[in-house]
Amino acid sequence: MFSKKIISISSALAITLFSTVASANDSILVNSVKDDVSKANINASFWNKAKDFTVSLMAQPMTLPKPEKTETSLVKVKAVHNGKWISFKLNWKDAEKSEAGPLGKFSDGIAIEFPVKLANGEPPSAFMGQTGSPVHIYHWKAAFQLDKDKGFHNMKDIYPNASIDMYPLEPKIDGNYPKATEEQKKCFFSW
Amino acid sequence: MARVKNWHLGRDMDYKYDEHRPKKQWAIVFDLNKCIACQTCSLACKTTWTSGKGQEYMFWNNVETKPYGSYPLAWDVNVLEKLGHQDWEENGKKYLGKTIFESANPNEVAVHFKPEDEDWMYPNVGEDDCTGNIQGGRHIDIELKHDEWFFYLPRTCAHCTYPACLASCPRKAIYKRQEDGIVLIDQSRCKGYGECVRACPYKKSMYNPYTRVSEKCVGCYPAVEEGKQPMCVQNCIGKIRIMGFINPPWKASEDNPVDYLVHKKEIALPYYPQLGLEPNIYYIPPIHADKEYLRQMFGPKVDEAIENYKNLKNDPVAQGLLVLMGSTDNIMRKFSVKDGIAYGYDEKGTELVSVPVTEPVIVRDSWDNNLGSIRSNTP
Repeated sequence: MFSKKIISISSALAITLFSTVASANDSILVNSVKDDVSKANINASFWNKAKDFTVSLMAQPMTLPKPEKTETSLVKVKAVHNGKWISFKLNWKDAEKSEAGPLGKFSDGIAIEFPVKLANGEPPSAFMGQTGSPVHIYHWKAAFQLDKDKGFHNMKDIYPNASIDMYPLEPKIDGNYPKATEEQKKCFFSW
Repeated sequence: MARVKNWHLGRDMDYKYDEHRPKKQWAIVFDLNKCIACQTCSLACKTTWTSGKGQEYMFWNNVETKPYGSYPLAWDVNVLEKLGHQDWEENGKKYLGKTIFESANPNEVAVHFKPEDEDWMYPNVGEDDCTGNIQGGRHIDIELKHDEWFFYLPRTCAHCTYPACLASCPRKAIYKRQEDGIVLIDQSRCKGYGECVRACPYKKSMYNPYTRVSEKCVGCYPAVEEGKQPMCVQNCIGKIRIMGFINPPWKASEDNPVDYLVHKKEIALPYYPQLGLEPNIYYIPPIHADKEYLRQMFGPKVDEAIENYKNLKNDPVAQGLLVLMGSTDNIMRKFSVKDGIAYGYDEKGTELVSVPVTEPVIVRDSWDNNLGSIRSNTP
């Protein structure tokens, strides 16, 4: 029902963004704690010190095709830092876990964007920065997590009942799958 | 939104990008009177391009039986029913209805149907039930409203002049080559959103679950760059196909094989032109199929195309061109027919192939006196 994710990021980046401001929806207060926040830990006690902020999400307006609405319109965010590391805990409503796979199935994912360089003292455009003011984006996908936790999600995982006889271009020779050398790859055939 | 000229429709239409025709346009003409659905083309393509992981279900070239077959399932009826009335002027010179771009919801690039993964899993299942010859084990259990008829429809990506796939990609990962009009998906720029799979009305853009990006027919561009016809064309057993470079009608040249069939003889027509993409695969319609069905697929000009085909016996040049189909692996940029022999040439005018229009008939005695043995037909 609820998806949660922790992102812990080293604060080599300036954390001048997200200062305390009026409406809880527009910005997030990052609480200062003394604990070690460098490891992802959903159940850590320091989250109790962090205030919950609700961020509203919008469907991308930049290019066609445009979805009419987003499936997930709100995400709850808590953030803590200890001067060296910053950690975010995100919480959102989702009926089921989605880890991509076949056509039409997309992965759950989140992204957090940080400005790298201010533009005239202000953070650059939230729409992936602007000329001269790039941004860093941390992108997590459930599909990537699945690859990391259980190994690369292969055809046999997506279609467990599929029967595939062979891949002609990937033969096993003496028990091994041979690979071309860089020299061999440079050879260009023309008939 | 730009206004572009679509000569299939005889009018201008809306498209996301400006009109920008390539230097040469890859095109294939198929003679549907000769296709026997041997599927050699499908397997030639599969062996060359789609034998890898994630491509197991893919047929960049497929052959389906009309009227009841389709791969993926119901691709044509599903998109046509979203298009509303598809009226043409009486003579078929101008399309009065809307294209998929013009019918689109403002938040979409094109009106479309979204295929399910399973729709790709039944190529050719039950398609021949409508021949009326299957007693037990029919897949389709319906009363046919018409006489039993069918024809085979082989199809590749059409490398459209106004591709829906290219227009729908939010990352601009799909591009149309300037040198030959082949439309390609940049495998490193694609992120697998699948917008092209949704948008293409012919459903020739396919998602690869192993590489996690989408891919499509590449027009055998490595072969084409070397002056060779695509694998599906080279390997066609029935010699029903010819690949060349088509010109729009205002630049058509009579000695260009594809221009000749499409513009001069007017026996080859694009399929479902009402969708508005200006596809570059052309079909010589099957002369015995139901005319109403053919008009839906090819427009009102199909009746004239069929009459022109039936009158080919009076046209030695066209007959010569037909025997050139399947005669060489090389792309014929020009052709000519002289004294009962058809010749194909490359762009420099060098002769690539010569074929007698009528195969010479040689009658030989059954007893070979020189060898003292009987002549038999076994090769």
